Amino acid sequence: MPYTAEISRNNPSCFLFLIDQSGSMGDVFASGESTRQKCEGVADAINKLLQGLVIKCAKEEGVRDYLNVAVIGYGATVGSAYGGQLAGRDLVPVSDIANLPARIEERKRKVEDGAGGLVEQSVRFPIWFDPLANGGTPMCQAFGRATSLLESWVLQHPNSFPPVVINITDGEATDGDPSAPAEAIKKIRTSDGEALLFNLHLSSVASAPIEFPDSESGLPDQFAQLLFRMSNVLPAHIRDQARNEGYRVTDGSRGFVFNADLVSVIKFLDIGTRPSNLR
Amino acid sequence: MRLFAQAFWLPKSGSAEEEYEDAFWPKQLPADREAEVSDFRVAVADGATETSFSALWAKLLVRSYAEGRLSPERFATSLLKLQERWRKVVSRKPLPWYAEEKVRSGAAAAFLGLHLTNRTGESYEGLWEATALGDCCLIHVRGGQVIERFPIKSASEFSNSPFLVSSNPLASEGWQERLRTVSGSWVCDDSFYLMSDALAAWFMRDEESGRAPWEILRDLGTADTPVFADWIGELRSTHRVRNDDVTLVRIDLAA
Repeated sequence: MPYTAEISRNNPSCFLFLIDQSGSMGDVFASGESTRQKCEGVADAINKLLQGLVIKCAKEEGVRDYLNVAVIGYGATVGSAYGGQLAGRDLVPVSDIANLPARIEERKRKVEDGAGGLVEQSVRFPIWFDPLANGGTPMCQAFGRATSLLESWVLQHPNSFPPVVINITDGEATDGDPSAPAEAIKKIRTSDGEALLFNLHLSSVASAPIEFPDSESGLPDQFAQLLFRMSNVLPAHIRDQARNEGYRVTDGSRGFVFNADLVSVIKFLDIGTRPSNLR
Repeated sequence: MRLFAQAFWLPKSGSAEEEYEDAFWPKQLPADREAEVSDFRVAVADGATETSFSALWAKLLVRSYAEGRLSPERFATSLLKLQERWRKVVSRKPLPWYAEEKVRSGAAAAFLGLHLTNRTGESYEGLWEATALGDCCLIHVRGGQVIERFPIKSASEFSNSPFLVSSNPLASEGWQERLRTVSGSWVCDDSFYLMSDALAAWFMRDEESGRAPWEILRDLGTADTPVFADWIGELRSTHRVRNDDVTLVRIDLAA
């Protein structure tokens, strides 16, 4: 059965995030309560996600390399979007992500005090990735970059849980039709199955997100339909997680959100990257 | 009572011995069939892989039970003390940001304890009481029959998200409703098996298929039987046992 391989240090898995950094990412989210720029919201979501992945892999002796993670930006240029000491690196073992954030900020958060109240707690908040909004949307190039990185990764990890690619964008590709480059990503495979490509379309108009659709019929335009067709059907473990989080999903639901606000970006990233079988 | 106890354990495949996150106590089990014992406590715990310092947490739980503190009557106060103890130990040295975050959420473990006592004036029969939180299991065998399965009764009851007892008081809220206890009586030649979930799930599946898995457990460690690690390795490679830490404590009550 595909998508059931154990994720271990000998058999790590891989997440690759493709982040649209085109000029329009400087606009504010059109739906949801947020008044933040899309690029800022996405940067925050990715930093939180990286933090969460590190914590999942952390044990008392340090961080176990269960995962390799790349964050590739595409806008004026296409390349690694990590800052600090990781700048320029593509697929990075999660222990390096843990130990080499670009900087660590102090943030406050409210936690339960155990007596029914809330107390403010100071926490260290690591940052790897800063917002950027500049240039066009070279999605085909970004998909090509992902394909070449993942082709060499699967050669080194032929029996691993297949790579998961999450593309976050707010607009149409400016360098051609991304369908064929998307298919190239989805053909990359390990003995446990083919790479998974999920797409998050950020809102440009104020209307509710369409999450995990199972058909393109309710989608409003050709671009949304294209992103839907490029997205894989959710494998069983992700479908179950989405269902547990209260989403209405069917066996045909795809890893796609149309018109995502900031909340649905964070939820989608969390559901799509929860390693199911860490050993 | 005269009892003979033996523990078998193995870390996950691909993990080192020091990464084993199950625990059992006492470490030195009574192995002399001639020695008389009137009261005996033993416990097994299974620290959760997803949490940090879970081996320490599992060990604190089993030790406290085996030494008579984490009894059902004193569970609440003993648990609070153990949670405090865990926090003190893990906060001894400064931690990197990710370890700090993980410590804040706490360690989790499944827990099972068994307490055997003589019936007054008797050493050939007595009473037992078991306490469990989570999916470590107890099997009681008499005359070639399983007469108790606790707290899980069948293979289908194992899930990916059992309730675990946490070192973080907030995360362990609700344990009172999940704490299970059961009691019964024992006679000479009875056997008890305490297992962490991966082996317990195999046991129940095997039994439900009409086989007698206790015969394999009964003979482990004797001549002409496979070494425990080889046997588990075979079960793992044929997907009959999940790749997880495995612990078995076998107790034979001698005549």
